[in-house]
Amino acid sequence: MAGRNVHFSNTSIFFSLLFAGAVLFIEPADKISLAFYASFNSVLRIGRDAQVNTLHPQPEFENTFSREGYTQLWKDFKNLEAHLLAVQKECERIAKVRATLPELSGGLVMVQITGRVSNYSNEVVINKGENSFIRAGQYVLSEQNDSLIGVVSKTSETAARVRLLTDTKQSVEVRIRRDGTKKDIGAMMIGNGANGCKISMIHKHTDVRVGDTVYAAAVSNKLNIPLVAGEVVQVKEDEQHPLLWDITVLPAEDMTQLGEVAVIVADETLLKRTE
Amino acid sequence: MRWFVFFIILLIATLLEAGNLLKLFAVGGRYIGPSILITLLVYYALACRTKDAIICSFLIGFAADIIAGPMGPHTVCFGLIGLLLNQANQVLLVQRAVFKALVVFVVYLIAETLSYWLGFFKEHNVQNNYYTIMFFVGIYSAVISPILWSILAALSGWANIKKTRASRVYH
Repeated sequence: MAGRNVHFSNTSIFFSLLFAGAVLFIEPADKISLAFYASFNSVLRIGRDAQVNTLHPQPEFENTFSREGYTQLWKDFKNLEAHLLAVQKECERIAKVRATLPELSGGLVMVQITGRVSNYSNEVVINKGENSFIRAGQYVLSEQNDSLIGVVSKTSETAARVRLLTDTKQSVEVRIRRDGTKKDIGAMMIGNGANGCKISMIHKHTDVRVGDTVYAAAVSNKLNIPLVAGEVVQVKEDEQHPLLWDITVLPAEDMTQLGEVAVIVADETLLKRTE
Repeated sequence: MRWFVFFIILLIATLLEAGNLLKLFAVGGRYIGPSILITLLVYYALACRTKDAIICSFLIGFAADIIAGPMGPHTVCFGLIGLLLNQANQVLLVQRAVFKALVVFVVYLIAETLSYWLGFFKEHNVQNNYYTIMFFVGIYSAVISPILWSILAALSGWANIKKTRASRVYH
């Protein structure tokens, strides 16, 4: 009976909830969001396939070579080139050292994209997490495993967030290369928040041109060989720093079309899986 | 107020906003889609008594945080704006569809701008074209808000909302 007579004033309720909101703001509580996406994964995916088909309808004529097909071939070609270069370097190294060390290779975990986090961010939620050996920092590839699309940013047991290359908080080490040359420029690429990426801090004396290919640099335990990330589409003088280039890169993968993607899991996870 | 009904409505709205079904109607790539939660916020803040309006506003903000992240900014902003709207109810007469849309549009702009700034304070996350996207999402949300408003008004009896005198016009 006493409990029924307890009365909280509007002011006390407001400030209590405001305090709760402030605690949420201060404390890292992002697992709640991931838990929500993991719990309602199947419901949230409704309409996903229709959406992809609506945005990218199939070509009507069989003899028409689609843009997607061309992009696919272009990426395969670029990746083969990069692979060839990596193999050549490896052969040279082996020839010199005459000994090889056992090399552990990473594995791929295929995941499905549940949805985009919000209208504003370039982050997506995937339907697997720590239980599938996915950890923050791991690289995420396109469905065909032929181009880098982003990096795992947060994980829970059953879901994870992937920050796409186009996100302003995502920076990736890249190499800029050109067909028929030995040009290989190292740089950092960061998302521009829209549909592209930016490369800055490259001196104007450096020869970078529209059409140059941008590869994600090989990183130990994350990416064994360089992989296509995009193509340089604009090179102009940096307005704030006239001695530097302001380079715009168009990602190789259309970020609005992503359905299934692959996460490169590190070696230690493979070993754990074997156990 | 029957909180169970409110939670069901909030869950449906959250799932719609977070999921892909509503994005079928998005324009401009996939960026410009309607926000349902903002209509919920405006409706419940104007229709409920102060106590219920405060709780509803914070809960809707919490749902918005779950969808968009980082946690906190929407909870705080929606709570504050919900209270302000509820107090403004005594001088604000929102009967016609165009006024409803206008209120939703203005509230969306204010709420999202404040949330963005708070979010920036927390994570230093800058998004290009943010204000452009926000403007068009606000318009989209405002356009569909009279329809959602009607649905919520139809459900108000089921939810047993104890209305203020001023809010009795929202049928």
